[in-house]
Amino acid sequence: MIALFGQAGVLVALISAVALMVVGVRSYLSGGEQAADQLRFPIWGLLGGALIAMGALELALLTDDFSIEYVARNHARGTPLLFTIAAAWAALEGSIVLWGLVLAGYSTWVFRSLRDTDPIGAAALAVIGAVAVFFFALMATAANPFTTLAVVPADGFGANPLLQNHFLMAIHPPMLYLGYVGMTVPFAFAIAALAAGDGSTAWLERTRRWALISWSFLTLGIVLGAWWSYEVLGWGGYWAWDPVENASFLPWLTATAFIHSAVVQRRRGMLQAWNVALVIGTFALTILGTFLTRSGVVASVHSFTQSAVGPALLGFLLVILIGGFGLFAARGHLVASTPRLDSLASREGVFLLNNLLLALFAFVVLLGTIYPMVLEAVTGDRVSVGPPWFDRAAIPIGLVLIFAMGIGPITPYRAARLGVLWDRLRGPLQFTAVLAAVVVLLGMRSVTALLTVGFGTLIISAIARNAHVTARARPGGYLRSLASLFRSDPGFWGGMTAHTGVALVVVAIAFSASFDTRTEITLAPGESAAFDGYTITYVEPFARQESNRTVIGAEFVLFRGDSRRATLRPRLNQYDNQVQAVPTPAVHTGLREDVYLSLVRIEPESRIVTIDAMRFPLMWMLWLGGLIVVGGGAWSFGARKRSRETASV
Amino acid sequence: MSDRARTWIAAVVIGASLATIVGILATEDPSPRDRVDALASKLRCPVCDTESIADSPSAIARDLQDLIAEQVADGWTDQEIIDFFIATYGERVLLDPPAGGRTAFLWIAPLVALAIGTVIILGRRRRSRSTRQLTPEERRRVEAALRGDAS
Repeated sequence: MIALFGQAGVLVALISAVALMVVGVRSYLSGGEQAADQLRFPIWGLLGGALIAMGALELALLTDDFSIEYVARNHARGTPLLFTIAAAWAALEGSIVLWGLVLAGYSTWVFRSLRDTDPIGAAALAVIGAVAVFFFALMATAANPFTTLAVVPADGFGANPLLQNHFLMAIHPPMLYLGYVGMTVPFAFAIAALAAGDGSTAWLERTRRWALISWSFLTLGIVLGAWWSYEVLGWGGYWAWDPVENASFLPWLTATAFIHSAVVQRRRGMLQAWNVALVIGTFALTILGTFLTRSGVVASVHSFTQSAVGPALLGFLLVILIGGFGLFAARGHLVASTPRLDSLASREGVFLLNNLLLALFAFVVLLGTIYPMVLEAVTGDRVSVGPPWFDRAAIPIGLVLIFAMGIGPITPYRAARLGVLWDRLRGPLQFTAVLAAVVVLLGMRSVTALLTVGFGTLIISAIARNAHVTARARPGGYLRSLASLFRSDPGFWGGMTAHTGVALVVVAIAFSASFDTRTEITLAPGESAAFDGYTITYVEPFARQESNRTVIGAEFVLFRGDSRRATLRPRLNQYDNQVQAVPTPAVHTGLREDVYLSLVRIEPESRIVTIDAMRFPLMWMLWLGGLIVVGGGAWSFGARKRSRETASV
Repeated sequence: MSDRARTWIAAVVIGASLATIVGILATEDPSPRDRVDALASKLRCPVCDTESIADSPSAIARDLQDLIAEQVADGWTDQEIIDFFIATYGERVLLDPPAGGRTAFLWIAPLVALAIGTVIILGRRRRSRSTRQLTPEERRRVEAALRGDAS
């Protein structure tokens, strides 16, 4: 019954998507008059159908309707409520439903922003309609979430243990999808502008808010994903250049490049065609990311699915690449801009450097991610491309990028004189040099880490100086000017906030990579061990049965000197549907450092426990920095700009 | 304080800090512990997909890490240890693909991309025509005009 309902929703959405495509094209061809009136019906059909499909899936999960195969495979009676709801996007078919719903939501938003006569808007909605046709057709065929079973099982199998082990897994995928899918909007407008041969910056102005909001969500999704790895995977890491992590990082890199080059286009009329290429590339990378994650082409902790969806996604990716870049090759000259650079030593010059590096970064990550797959497909040879290779490319590119982040925002447009730069950098450079020396005295020995900390400090101190000088020059009290600064130019200061967050992230990465320690400790109940200035006392093991899993764990008390810091309970969670237990580390977060205990084993007879004890400095700064980046992005699209052309330097 | 004095102070502060940093870093020896970690993070844990021996929490990764520590203690060179792992587990054990053979492209392509990008950006610079220096004769006339002489 619910299955029928859900399938009806998918069909309504599919038909509406086709209608949106057809009516959108017709409206564009006839000049876009009253586009909103013509498109109203398809849009509401698309949104309504997607809502019904998602609602039916959630209802089936919540009512334990195991006649639906998806529910039987990804849900069990004992699954807690949060993970029951999240099971709707824990596997392939459901995640496509979520994709469709988010796309329907974004298209409704675009629809509501349509003007009276709006050919470009109508064409953009037609492009979104075409994308929606693909995803809802997928739901109707290869990835049907409402396939029913002839024999209804008494209980379901339950979701992948890794995905129901931590609440972050319930919110990470929706955030990522809000980012991924949002990239469809700038893509659709760019294609529309190309088709119309519209060389103005109108499409850029119109899609600015969607570009920023999707970028912010994508950032949040990546940060939450890294946080989840740290909290769940038990080795204390948060980034391993895993193909699926790269899949989310790739569109982030090109979207970040786009956000920056869009500024150059708005301010100086440059890079118009490049922006179109970046937007098409970003959208193609989101589809590639979905393909990598959802087709089982890479075997990794994230890639838990195998189905006919892979070829479909690959085909769609080829259509995007050939269609998008083909259109770009044929009509790109119509939107190309002519102004050239006055001098490389200028804000535009740094923006160009930023774009070169981000594009290169994306190219390198893409190369390292797909090379082993392509090589295996072509020759059958298997090679690994792992963290050492990625690090070797990422570190120099990243270092130049964060250096450019330090000096870019204080470099004047058009042409910068060295004297002006020195005047603005003198204070920040002194602060940076002294802090770097202190860090070396504290024991940091890696040149890479030191440069990272140095450039991170330079970024923040240059921003602080900029804010200070700008606020002092404004009329009224200093503190009030400082507070109102952020509202005076949200685009710029939102960007600076995001830069501050990135600086905190890279500094935290440098610290946690330089000063991490790990030791294996074996203890009998009641015994204590010293660990890097802490004392770890093993109290006792424990075991308990929960609705969906068996938990065994050990209780430890953490002391620093005589002061008791925390009670830590690292666990091994044994889910009914998997032999291998899932380790759940216990983390004590402190201002200086995290103490991270991961349970290796407990001997049943002697109750002797073996744990991995790890220490990672300044981890809170990593997560805080990530959230500040998101906040900066949100601020720059959310706040209304008071005066359009405030130069902040 | 004059601008000149500020610049001098800045130069002294930055110079002294850099001297401290270079002085400490130059006199540091790498410890054998670092070698074990460096090797373990370059080798893939045989039962994992992408995790290294250093990162994987699996039992075999622990054993292999101990093995590397023994080999380092016995005086094996890095290359000998890596060759041992390739002989035992095949070339896929290398997380850092070699810069030759089937994986040479992985090393060449990024450099080619960097070169192409740099050439494109340099090509976008405006030709120097519009910002050329004035000739001495032109400069004299401009200065005269600015002074208000009608010559």
